[in-house]
Amino acid sequence: MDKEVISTKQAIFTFILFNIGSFIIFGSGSDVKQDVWISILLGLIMSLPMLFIYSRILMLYPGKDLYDIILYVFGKILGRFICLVFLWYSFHLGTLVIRNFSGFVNVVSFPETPPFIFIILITLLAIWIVKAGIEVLGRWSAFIFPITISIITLTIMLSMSNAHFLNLKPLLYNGLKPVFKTAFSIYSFPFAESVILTMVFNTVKEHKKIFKVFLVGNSIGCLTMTVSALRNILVLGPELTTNFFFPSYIAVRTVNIGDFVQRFEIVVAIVFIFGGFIKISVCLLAATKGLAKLFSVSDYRQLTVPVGFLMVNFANIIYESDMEMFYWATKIYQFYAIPFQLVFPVIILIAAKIKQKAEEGKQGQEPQPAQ
Amino acid sequence: MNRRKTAILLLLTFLCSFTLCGCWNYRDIEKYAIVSGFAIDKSEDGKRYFLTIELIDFETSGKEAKQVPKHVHSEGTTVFDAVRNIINETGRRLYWGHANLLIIGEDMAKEGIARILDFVLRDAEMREEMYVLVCADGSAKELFEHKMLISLSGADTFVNMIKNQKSLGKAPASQAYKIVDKLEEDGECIILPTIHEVESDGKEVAILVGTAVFKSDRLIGFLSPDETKYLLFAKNEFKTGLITLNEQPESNSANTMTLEVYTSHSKIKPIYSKNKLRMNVEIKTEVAIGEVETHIDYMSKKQLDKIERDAEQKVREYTTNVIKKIQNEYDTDILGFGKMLKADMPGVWRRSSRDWDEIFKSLEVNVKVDITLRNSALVSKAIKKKG
Repeated sequence: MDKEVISTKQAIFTFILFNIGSFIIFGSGSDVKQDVWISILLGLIMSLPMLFIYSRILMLYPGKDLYDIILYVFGKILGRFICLVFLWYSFHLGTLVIRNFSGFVNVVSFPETPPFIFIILITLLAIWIVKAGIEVLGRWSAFIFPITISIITLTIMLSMSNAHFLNLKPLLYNGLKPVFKTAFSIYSFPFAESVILTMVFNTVKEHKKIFKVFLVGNSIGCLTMTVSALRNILVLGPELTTNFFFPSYIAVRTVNIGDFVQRFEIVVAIVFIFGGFIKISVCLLAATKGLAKLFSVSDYRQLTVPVGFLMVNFANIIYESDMEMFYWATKIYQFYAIPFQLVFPVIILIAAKIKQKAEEGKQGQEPQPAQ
Repeated sequence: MNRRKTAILLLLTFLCSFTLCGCWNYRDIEKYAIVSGFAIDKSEDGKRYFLTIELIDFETSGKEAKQVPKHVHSEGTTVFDAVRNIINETGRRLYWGHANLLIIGEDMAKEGIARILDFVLRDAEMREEMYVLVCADGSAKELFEHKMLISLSGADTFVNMIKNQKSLGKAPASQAYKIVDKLEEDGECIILPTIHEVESDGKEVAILVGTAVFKSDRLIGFLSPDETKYLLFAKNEFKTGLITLNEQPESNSANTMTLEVYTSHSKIKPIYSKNKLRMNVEIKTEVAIGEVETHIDYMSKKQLDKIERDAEQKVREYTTNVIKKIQNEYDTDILGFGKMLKADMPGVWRRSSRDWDEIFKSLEVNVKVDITLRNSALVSKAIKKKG
């Protein structure tokens, strides 16, 4: 196998972009209104144990990705079956992000262009970068991350001229229940989606720091999301925010400073395209790697194009309408994702621990008869 | 190898010609008409929407291009239907990205404005920071057709009227997205600026006159410009403007004085004690003497205090009157008392939100005004006539 290495920094950048990618444009919190920032913070706290589990799995076997570990721990037959589960998840998630992307672009800027065009263009780019390898992906993340963050900061600063801080009150008017409900939804999208990265991040140079990558990435991602969710509520008000599919886009649209600084909402789309592109590429990479492991293909790169085009087709037929897409993303996805984000990782970690213990025991026992 | 390179190069050229040419289709600017503002009325039979749209056309005369506003009308069963029916008249599709004014006719506003605002919010081309106006008495149709004084475009003039209220404070500014948020949110009803036509110099001109008061999304009444001023004082939306003192138009004994407001802040504080809800409106204003029509010695402490007291008295009286009028005549919470109550005392609001209309009507409101005189502009004493 060829050795691909990315630095810790690049890994963190990739992680953050993966995290904020589609969330920053969607926003969330249909039920919680002005308390959505509490939900985001709660979602972060809920995702911390999961991050620990994901990084633990990777740290047990340095240099191996999730598929290798599954195949090693569960053997060839059962292992292949579990690999298939994760292969499906990364493939499906990539498809969903592609579909979100095409839905967004189609609604806000190109209503007459067939969505298929956007789907195929972004996937072609993703195929290209995956073929170039994770190193290129890491460098690309490091390159666009500062741009993305400065755009987000700029839009937030400019929006502050229309901010009304009364919109945040009263706190927890509808009680804690909806806040927790939304927190769960935010936990599964986007925080716990980082399970995909366990299939890719075996390439991080300093292996011990993998938990740090997950933690720092998630925290910065969370901060960005909280601030932009707050911005939406301060500018649009708690009720109106929930009316829109893309509240961030609308919030930036209302900025008008002296009739001169105005109509720059498209920069929000740039953030989404950058983040979404990273997310699509990482999912494509994970799915391709999975397929390669499943059929024992030595070089996953050969499979990038077919997997990518399968994604194109799937994204094209997956939803009938945008309403269906949003219903799925906000109401169903969180439950659908439980096995991939929670059940299987926990099983894998326990099994891997047992296996390692057993091996240590064997190694301990073996020298004894020699004595 | 060389042949392969050529093949790849050709393929790339071929592919690029597809992908780099830009979008799926193209739109020529000549094929579009740019909308600057529009008005919605009910049609004559009262069942359909009647749209008046102001377009900005460019006419070239010699070297210079001139902006010429043009007006078109159309009818439709829905707003969107009416918008597309314009094609029958203009032959072009409209570009809505620059429309920043919506005038709603009185009849339409009486039936509810939420259904109109849906299209403004939903359509990707229309911008939700569009200003919304209500046309008092009559249809909004004619408003655009008057000759404007400063600008050629009616929409431009009206938008500037609203925007520059920040130095007059006699009409509220409201953009479509803020209105929709208030429509949906608990505890605050919407107000919109009102425009209507008056005869001046033998011509009809449109002027901005105060506020349209809504209950839910229905128009129920109007407030005069002066009432609006004190309403905005209470709502903390008054930026700068004037306070006049001692005006006695009938006696013609000019001892009038004008104070210019530099900053004004107000706070609505709900107070709940002994099972009774009260509202405190605290207004803090900084003013300067802007015009003195009689001789008074405002350098002395005593006189200064008197001016401050007079001004406080006046603002308090008028603000209280407006609030009483709103409570008794309209019974609609345009002051945002409910919103403040919800923000400060969510428990009390939860109990009283169901019959808030009743509670609001009988709410005891105290207005406190604190006015500070800052300076008297360039002049240290008023003009003193001989004899």
